[in-house]
Amino acid sequence: MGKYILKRLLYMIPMMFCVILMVFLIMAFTPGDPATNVLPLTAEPEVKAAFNERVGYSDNLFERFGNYMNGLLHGNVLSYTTQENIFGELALRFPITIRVGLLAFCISAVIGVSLGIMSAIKQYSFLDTTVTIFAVLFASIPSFFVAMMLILYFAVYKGMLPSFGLEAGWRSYVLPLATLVLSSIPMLSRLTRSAMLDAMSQDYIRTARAKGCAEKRVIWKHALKNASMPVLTLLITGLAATMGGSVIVEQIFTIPGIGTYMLTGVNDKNVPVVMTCALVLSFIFMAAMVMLDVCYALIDPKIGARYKK
Amino acid sequence: MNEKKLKNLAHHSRNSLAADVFKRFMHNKAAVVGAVLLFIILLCILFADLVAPYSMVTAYDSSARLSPPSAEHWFGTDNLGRDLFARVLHGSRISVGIGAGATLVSLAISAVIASFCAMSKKADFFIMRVIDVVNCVPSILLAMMFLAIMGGSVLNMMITLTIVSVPSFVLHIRSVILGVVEQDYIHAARVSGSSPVKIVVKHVLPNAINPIIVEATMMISSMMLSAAGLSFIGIGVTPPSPEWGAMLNYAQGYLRTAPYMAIIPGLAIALTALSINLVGDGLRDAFDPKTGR
Repeated sequence: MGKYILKRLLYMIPMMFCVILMVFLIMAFTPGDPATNVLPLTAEPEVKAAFNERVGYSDNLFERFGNYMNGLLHGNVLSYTTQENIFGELALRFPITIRVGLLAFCISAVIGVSLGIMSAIKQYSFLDTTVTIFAVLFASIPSFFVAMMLILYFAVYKGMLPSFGLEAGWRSYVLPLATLVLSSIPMLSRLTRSAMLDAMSQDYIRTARAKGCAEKRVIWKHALKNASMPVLTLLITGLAATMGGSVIVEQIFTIPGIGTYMLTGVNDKNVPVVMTCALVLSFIFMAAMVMLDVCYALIDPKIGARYKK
Repeated sequence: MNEKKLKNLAHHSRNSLAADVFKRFMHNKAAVVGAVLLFIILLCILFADLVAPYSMVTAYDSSARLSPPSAEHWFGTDNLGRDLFARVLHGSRISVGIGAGATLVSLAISAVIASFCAMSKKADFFIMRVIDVVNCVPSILLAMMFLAIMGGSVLNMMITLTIVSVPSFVLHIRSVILGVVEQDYIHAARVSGSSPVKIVVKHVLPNAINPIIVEATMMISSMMLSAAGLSFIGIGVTPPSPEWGAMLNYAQGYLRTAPYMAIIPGLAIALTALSINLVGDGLRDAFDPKTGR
């Protein structure tokens, strides 16, 4: 198992290089330059050329890529617009994104999974129908609309909660968290429900019941363990996604996280920022995938046996 | 007499699959509601010009800025005095058009790539490695990169969403196709000397089509929502076009004075996505009664 994990971790290095290269090529072979996007429309061509020259955008492709990789290895990549180290900015923004993302993730994981389990156990009950209708409805409402309606009611009409920034303590976290939770619960509860129903209809559940196993034990030990694989997959990919921050939610609530940083980076054609963000996010995603495989091996003895040689 | 009966039976059984699917679909209340809703939305898309000519979409009426819904302006007017009813109505063409168009193109491309995967181990290995790399980057970042660079327009939005959705769509179709390829009748076709292309076109795709149709239906609504989201953060379809997400974007500034400016386009997005999702769910249950419920 340890050897397998090590192999997977080493495999991440070439993958991350490919990600950097891909993002670099997309940014390089598409029109536009940082000066045009950053400087005011009235800027003289000479001023623009000087700007591009200063940030190093007018070097040729190989030099630009080499410079970036060199900076990356020394942990010092300069942003085009601020000429400051990107990692400093990331160190400020990451904790914010992670705080919001992790909180939202934990709340929605607990609520979503338990709603799914409850509606599977009591199929077609009042609770099940309500949860299903809620899930179908909220899966169709875009998160920014949910956010705007929450702002409209709680911030504009009631004036109870702030609608932007994170300066007002816990109050300013309520609306962004509510938006994220409301938009991730539907999928989680639906998937948990269908995975549980699937597991409950299997032969081993009938066997467990026939041998006189208590219903609680049947559900928690036999059904849930077998239903946990798809749910876990969704949870861990969701966790990786929350680390990247929701651009839309961060944009609405003006949260200074990774999402808004990426958006300004893209809008300014700030190539180093976009590349570094892509690198960090892809690292998180790949690490999450390794974690997922380890979880699979722990849950499913059939998969676990493959690594025990 | 007997022969006639047999003929009837044979005729009946030939139509029974589609008929069964239709019957099961019609028994699903939610799916029928979705289908009716979707039909109404399609009527709106087709006859938008008859109800409100396109000139109304961009016509300014500076004397009637931010007026709430009334008999004259059913959905009210926006900050420039444009009629919201006409804008939402014509916006349906853009939003649903982007969703459906991007899905169709993405479906065609993904089906071809996935067929290559199913037919050749080497191609499969190569394509999967490429998808591994692309999947590591959040799709919203990819979409933002393409859109910010190409500039926001309906066509660019469709191209972007197509490119961004192909990897995950290929993965889905591939998994469906690989399930079919393992079946005995495919082995039989291969042993009897059919060419790979013939096997894919004649045997694999027809047997894999149902889950792909369901996935494609769901994809229309998710692409529509992504398009609206990208326009909402200001890098999607540019202002004069009445795209629903873009309309919500500038409704943000008037939430206090004119909340209907946000509520109406938002409801339009939600209702359209809901109807498509309900139809997709209904189709899935109708195709395969074992799953879902």
